[in-house]
Amino acid sequence: MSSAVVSVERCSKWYGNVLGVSDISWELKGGIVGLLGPNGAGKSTLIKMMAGLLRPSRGTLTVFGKQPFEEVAVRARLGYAPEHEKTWDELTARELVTVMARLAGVPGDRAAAAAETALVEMGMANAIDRRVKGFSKGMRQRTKLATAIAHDPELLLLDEPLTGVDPVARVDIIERIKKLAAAGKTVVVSSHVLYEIEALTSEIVVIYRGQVLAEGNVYEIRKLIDRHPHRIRVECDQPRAIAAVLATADHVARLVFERNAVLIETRDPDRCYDAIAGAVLDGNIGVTAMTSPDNNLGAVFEYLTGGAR
Amino acid sequence: MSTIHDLGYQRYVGTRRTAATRWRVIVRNQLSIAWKTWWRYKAVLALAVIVTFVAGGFMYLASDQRVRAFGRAGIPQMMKEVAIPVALQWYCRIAFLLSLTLSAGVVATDMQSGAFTFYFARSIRPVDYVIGKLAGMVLLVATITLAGPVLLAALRIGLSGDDTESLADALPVLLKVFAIGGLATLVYAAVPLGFSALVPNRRYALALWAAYYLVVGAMAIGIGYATSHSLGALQLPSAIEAVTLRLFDVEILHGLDAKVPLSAGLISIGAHVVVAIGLVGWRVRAAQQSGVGGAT
Repeated sequence: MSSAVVSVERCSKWYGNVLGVSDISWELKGGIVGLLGPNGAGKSTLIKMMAGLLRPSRGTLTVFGKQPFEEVAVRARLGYAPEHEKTWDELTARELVTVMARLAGVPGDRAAAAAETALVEMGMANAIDRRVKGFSKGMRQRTKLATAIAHDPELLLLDEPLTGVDPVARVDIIERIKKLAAAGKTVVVSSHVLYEIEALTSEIVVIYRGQVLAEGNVYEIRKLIDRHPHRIRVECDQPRAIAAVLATADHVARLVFERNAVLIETRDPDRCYDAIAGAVLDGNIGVTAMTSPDNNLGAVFEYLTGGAR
Repeated sequence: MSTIHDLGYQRYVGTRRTAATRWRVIVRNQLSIAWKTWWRYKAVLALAVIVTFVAGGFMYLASDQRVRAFGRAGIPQMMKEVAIPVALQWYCRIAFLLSLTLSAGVVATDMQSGAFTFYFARSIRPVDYVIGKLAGMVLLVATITLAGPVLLAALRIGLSGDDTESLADALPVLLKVFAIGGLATLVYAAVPLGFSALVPNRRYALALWAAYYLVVGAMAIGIGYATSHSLGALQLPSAIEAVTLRLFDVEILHGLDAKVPLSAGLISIGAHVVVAIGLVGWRVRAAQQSGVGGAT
């Protein structure tokens, strides 16, 4: 029998005529793995199949050597935090996590203690007896994570656990997920934001249109992504002064002037940001905003696949 | 290696509840959620308590020697006999209210909110879910349709007199209220639950159940009056009343509903309950098979 925690072999899933994942083969042996892909890529479908919520239309998917959809007992070894936020809002965090622990098989007398431990571990000690109804997005995410870990599963499946979370909470949640992995749990995290995944792990699987595009070290994939012309829009009072500095740079592919702004296409974002900063300081230019319209993995993946997929 | 255990996190290493008993967790959660808000269950329970006090008061007064002395011949005795059957009708009305505040939305709410993912990402099977939800609703409805009548029956036995003959006459009342209350409990727990599984939207499920109970039921009585009285048993209160009136055999209450045959009433109750439970099982299984949380 394979030693893989998760083994996916030529797995496909259709929703009627819509393809969720297509002919995916993949093995997970441990640690933290990030599933990266734009919205609708098939990340949640893959996670739900691992959680036993969906049956593969074709192929086999096993978790700890068992098929989670058919063999319910193996689900006791999984902790799943869904993407959606809906819970039983009328319950307090303690009550909610206690119920989830009981549903996962922790006996009644121990479930409350397990719930409290999990909530404290997720940084919810101060809100433990507050109703979920009044929780912020970040608190809901933490509570969801607590429901996933309360029964001490070996495999954690976290579907977009950082969505909508403020930057401070994001850093905190990332550290807590890392601690869980350090404690020996295998963690699968999905996200459509590259830097979130980078902060968690160097091992990623890139999914796009239901297929695994690439898997391995995030830095290699990052290099591929960085080759894609990156766009930076600088809103300022002297766009032509910035353009004059950047026009001769070899990493700049294109400059487009807009009203009180310049749009720069570059193949080396790091050098470009440095050059913009230098131009702004040297020319005493007043910058009002600087944005990157390219925070869209879909566009990057289209580029990586030559737009042919 | 720094681990969360170093930070005080204790892994749960104890025994785990077997998967076959996890429906009890669902029952417990159902009761807990029902108790959370005043309007969902507590208000309805208060109405049932009021009915119990009023019916009990009538029975007590009817047993009082002074009232018996002043009342017209037979009236106190009639009050005593009528109190429980009439109270049962009111308990059924209150159980219908409970179905609107709670039972008719149970499965629909879970489907709508994505709560199925909480159950089926754990070692819960659809059958555990159905048993848990049904048992939870039975317990809640039983506090209305069974507990009240049983208390009244106990009061009736207590007021029946000290001699053995009176006690023996009154004892069957307890069996009767157990039978009728049990049937009413099944009806008001299972049938709304069946409607709640029909559509994945709480409001629509409530509307469908209310329309079936009130409009279709009234139509069935109307058509039954013109054609065959057995059709009247399609109206659930009439089906329960058919059983109540036959068991209590109180002449003064014999009206339109009394014409619904007992067998038709029992068949209607049985069919409604079986179809409703089957419907819940089928819909939950289908939802679980098709992927409970949606496509993405």
